[in-house]
Amino acid sequence: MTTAVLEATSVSKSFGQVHALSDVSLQIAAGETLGVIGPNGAGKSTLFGVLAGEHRASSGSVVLHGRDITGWNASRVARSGLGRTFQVPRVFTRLTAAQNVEVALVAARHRLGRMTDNLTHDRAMESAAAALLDRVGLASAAGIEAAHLGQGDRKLLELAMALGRGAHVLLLDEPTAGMGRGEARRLVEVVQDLRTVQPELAVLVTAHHMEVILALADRVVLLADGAVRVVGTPQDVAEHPETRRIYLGEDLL
Amino acid sequence: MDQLIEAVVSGLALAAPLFLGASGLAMIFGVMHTFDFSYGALFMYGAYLVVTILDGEAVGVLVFGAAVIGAALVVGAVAGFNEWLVFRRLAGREHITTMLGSFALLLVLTGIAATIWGPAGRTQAQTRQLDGSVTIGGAQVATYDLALIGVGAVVGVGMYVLMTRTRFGLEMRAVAHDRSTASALGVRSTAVGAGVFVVGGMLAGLAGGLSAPLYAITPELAAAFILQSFIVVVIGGLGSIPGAVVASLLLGTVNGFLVVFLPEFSDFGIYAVTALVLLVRPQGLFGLSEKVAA
Amino acid sequence: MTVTRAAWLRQAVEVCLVVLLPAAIISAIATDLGIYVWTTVVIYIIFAMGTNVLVGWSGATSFGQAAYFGTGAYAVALLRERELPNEVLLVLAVLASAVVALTLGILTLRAVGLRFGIITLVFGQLIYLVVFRNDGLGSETGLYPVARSTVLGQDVSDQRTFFWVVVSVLTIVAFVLRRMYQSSFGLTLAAMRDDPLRTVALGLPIRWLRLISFVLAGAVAGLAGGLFAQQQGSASPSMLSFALSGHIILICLLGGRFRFWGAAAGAIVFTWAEYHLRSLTDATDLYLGALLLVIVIAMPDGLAKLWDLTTVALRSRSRTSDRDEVSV
Repeated sequence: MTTAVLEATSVSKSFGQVHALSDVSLQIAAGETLGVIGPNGAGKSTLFGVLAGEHRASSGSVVLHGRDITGWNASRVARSGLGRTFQVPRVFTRLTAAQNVEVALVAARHRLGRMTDNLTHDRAMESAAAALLDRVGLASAAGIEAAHLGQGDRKLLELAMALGRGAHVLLLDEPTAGMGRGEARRLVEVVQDLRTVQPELAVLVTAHHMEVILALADRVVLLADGAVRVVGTPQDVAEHPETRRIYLGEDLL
Repeated sequence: MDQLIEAVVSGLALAAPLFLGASGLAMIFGVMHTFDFSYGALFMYGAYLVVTILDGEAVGVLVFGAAVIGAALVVGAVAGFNEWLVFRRLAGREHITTMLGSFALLLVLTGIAATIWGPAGRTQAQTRQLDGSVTIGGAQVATYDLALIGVGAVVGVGMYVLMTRTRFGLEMRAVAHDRSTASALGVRSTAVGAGVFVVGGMLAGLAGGLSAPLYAITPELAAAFILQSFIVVVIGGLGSIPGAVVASLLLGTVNGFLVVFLPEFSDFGIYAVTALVLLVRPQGLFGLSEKVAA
Repeated sequence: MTVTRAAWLRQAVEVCLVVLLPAAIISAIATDLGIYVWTTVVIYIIFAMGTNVLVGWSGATSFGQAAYFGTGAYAVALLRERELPNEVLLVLAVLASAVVALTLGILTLRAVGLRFGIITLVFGQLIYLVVFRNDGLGSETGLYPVARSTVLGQDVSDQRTFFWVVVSVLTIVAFVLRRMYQSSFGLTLAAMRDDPLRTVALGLPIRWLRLISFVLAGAVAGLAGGLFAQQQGSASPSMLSFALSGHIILICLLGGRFRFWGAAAGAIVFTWAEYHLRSLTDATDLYLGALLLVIVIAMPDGLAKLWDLTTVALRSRSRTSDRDEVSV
């Protein structure tokens, strides 16, 4: 059993009367891609929120690289090597794509950003940003203001930013949501390439499109009503009767 | 003891126009999610209109009342115009932008008043039957103060009925809560928004008209009033009308006490209290939570 | 590293050209009255550029910046008996306003957006009232006379000489701010302005960023205030007023808050407009208000839009690394 790089143990999260997560446990190892699926309201976003530090777990623990990060805020978790993309991509709209990545690089390098350096004329930073953009296929968009990028490109930009930040664990929240076939395929290819270029990268991905999960995930976790129902390889989970029951309603047999 | 009664009554009387003004402002905040500086100018117009209609002369209660109501209606119309001219165009923007726009509008409206009526102040003589004082429990209490408290109470009840028992009130609360959902449910948000401004404007005009016999009427009234209402709304809770009631009562009474017992500290004390409340409970006493006001 | 040194030089040259060249021209052709107004303009430029660190760079609109401007002015006025040289006087003014800014900055740290505007307004008013009511600080009339202290041992009370003192201060301030703007710190502020949530998700300490920019803005405002007290010969409560806080925001918006030199352009246009309006009409606020209204509704980027139209052809198509070129 490889040591887990990110491990959630018996995590529960309630918002008042709503029990969003009940006793959820999962592990993900370095180099592994874990898919998280489940119907709407299953708790996938809440799970991501708890892992990323946006929500505080009501009970249970989250361990990253062997350190207990339960209760850490989002900023601190991000600094510990966990990067995340949002379902509706969040980028810095008034900055260019290259500058977006530079922000991430700056964040990785200093805590605060130096007042005394000269970022605008920093060629090293420029090429580092360009390299990351190239890795996600956005090399041509470097000088374009993020506001002018489409959703698909913004998701790729978010990915580049997470990488620029130096994430070892990536949380991809519905990366292909709202995308057309071609864009979705492009993103999947980018993630697959990433895994070969950065083999230690652990990726947690949620998606509604089963094809994305099948293409990327080594293992899959099925969540429903805030609890883990099925765990296994994508194939196993796809064929599991529990999966069919959850997605299609009561067994028709 | 009689000083105490004086302080309380004058405090309540101060609270009445404060409340009238602040509840309109709170209403506007509830729907627009932003603070409207130009509201202060509406108050000023209320006072100016009354003094212009009555030419500063002392008149009977009925005439005075008619003048005040007339002023309120006109000011309501002005507010509606403002909504169409400025606020509607700033609808989708950041809240701070609308706040700046309203500040600009305040400057413009104040400037217009200065042009129409000149920088010199005007005064409105007290209404005949309401002049003088009454003795309560050994204390001299101005009759007009009692009248103000009465009007404040009536309007307060009226507002309550409007908010809870009418369709408009229901739509208003829907839009305040979630504009897009309300629209999706068939509420004409733009019309509701305009209506809120008009009603709010009428309240400001009413407060201004009623305050006409009390102060020197100059263009500076606008800034003075808006800062005052601002404090009430902030303490009571942005968007909350019950909050505005409680806060204006609180502030009116505190001010009443300060004026009687510690006059040098009145305005400073109020701001200090406000700062404290903001630090301890940023959304105010009854305020809506964070997400509304970001 | 040669690259860094070349960058320093380039920034220094840019600042000197933009500031000193026009200053020299103005100094040569302006009348005595004109020079007086221009001195005020330059002081407001300093104040505005400092304020823009909050309004433009960080996207945090504070309605109480006059508090720091006034603190600087009163600090200088309170020390007028001591006959300190300007080098010391201005440093003390900056320290005083920085301390006040630090205190209020910490208190207002949790507020954002509208709430931040409100709480800064309230605190600004509080400070105004404290000073207004304080006899030791001169109450309504303020403190006077405030003489112009020496600079490098020289007497600078002559208006034209004082103009150059103020211009020199602006040059230094502009250079420092220019470097900060183009540094990684400046970039993180821009990120925070665009999307605070995203900034946090990248692990940047957003509260520190906000606090630092708040103190920076306050310190620069204090410096401007200290100079203004010497320009006017007095320190009065109007230098702490809500009206001034409102005007300085208007200036930042007018010139284009997303551009580095926008605040400067705004200060020039505003101060001269106000000066001329005052002699033409009683209702200055009416026209200023109308101007602000037009800007807020139709031209959120202020005069920068005009600048864009005239320079777009001149700019090369090289890498747009300077944020000035990519604002909306």
